[in-house]
Amino acid sequence: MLTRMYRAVIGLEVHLQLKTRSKLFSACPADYHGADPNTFVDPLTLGLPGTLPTLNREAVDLALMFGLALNCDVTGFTQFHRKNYFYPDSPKNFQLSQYDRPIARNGYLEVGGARVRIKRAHLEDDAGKLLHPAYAPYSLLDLNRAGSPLIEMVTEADLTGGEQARAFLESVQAIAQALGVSDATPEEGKLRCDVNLSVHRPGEPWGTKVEVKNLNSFRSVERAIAYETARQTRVLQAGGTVSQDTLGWDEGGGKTFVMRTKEGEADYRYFPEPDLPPLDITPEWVARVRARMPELPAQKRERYLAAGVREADAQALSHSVALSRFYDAALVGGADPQRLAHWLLGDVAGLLAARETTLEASALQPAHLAALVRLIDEGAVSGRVAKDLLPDVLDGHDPQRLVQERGLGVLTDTGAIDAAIDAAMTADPATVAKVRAGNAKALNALFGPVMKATGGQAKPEVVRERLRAKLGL
Amino acid sequence: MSARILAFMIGPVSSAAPLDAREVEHLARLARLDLTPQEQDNLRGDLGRILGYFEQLRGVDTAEAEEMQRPVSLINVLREDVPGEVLAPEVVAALAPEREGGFIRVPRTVEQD
Repeated sequence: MLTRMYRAVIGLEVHLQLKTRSKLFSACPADYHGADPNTFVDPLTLGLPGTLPTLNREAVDLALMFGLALNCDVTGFTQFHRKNYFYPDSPKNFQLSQYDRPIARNGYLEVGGARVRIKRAHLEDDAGKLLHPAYAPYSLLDLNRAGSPLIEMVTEADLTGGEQARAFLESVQAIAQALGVSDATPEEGKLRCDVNLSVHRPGEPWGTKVEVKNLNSFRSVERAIAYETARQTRVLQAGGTVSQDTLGWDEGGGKTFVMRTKEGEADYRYFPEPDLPPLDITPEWVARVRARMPELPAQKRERYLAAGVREADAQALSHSVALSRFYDAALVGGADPQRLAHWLLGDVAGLLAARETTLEASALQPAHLAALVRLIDEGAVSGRVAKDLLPDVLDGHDPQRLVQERGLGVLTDTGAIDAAIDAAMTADPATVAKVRAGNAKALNALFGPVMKATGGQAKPEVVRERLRAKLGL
Repeated sequence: MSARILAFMIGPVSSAAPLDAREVEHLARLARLDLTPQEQDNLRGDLGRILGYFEQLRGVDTAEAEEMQRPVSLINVLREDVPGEVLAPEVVAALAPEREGGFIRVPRTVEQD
């Protein structure tokens, strides 16, 4: 029965906006996010007569870095092609893209033990942004984005489900962020994803594929894949045929819809861009770029696992530039790696979320978190005291100093502990009687009040030991 | 290049293999041009002559010639990533046929909801 089930065959197309200061083919500043419309525009962006493109070296280097991180071939000849189309979002009436010789080819990425092959990654310039006011007979154009540098990365159809697609995209995002290639934030449109999907029964040829475009969150990708897999399976099981459509995703309705395509038919008349000399990526060039590459998330993860960090924590730390940078700085403080990770991803993350802030925006010092964890490790403060101190440590206070100032060190004065025990026993004679009658478990009812009376500063094992002694256990 | 040399190179131009009406319509649609039948007719003639030049070029024996995609054999010409000037908003606005706020107004590109 299982073998009769339909399976999804999925390929992804990912666009990443490169983190350069100027646009791909002109010196026009590229940092337009949040700016007024049409204020990041120069003659080349407008495609004015007489303008000539000049290729941004940093964009090429970032694309090479990204290609190398995806295990692609990048050396050798690469060039740009003109992709001709007439649409208001591109005043020059063509896109400068790559066609026969993309800058990166034949790579792969390991995701959860499976290998997803990367067909290609190429450089191209982005188009402007069109807005469509409700009920207006016109659209509004903002050309700030036009000409900004993109990488388009295309996978082979190696993915089989939404969860895997999401994990893949999270890896791509982590790599792009770690390398500083792109902010890769879907919510800002700096990472955009199209899904190609068909279903078939294993052993049978692939079905007709559809393309789901403009998915602007990982969650949308996952949901759209689940929806399309189910829809196509239903169509085929009912004896119907899947039509080869370009689809949009309705996030609110949780369903795909057929989009009117941009061109009636694709007729881009690609030709080699005569205004841009080709590139020869030499091994020396690649070596220079490689030397610039920081540690990749997969390498970080291995390093954390080797240090004794749990799998899930190692994954979470390695996927975030901010977290791993902070964690690495805190590790220098000599705290236990797993407990440090646990505090950072648990209590610290929770408190930051409650305060609606981020690690970068908070005053928390890596050395201070390390010191706090070390204080617990050394038995100098209890876990409870550490938790109480955390809000102040997050505000930039040194935990060691806080402990000294507030006299919060672990209570080693057995006299004080004994006094608290006596008080607890006097307050609860019934429990004392139970314990004396042989119910050792009833002891726990006395333990809480003693810990409370000592402000959580007493060592639990000391309290337990002295309680037992007093009660003759 | 003088007109004499050009005429020598391309010879008398014939309007061989004219485009049919459907091909002209297709090109007009891709270029988003709304052409009258008269304009389409004129274009068929003009484009036919241009294609005629290329027909002649195709007749030249290039078996021995090296393929050339660009007129100058430069390689690896790059610009440093240093941001430069933008156009003043009023300059951009003046170039736009219609405006609204800072936006450029263009014919609607999607259907009304």
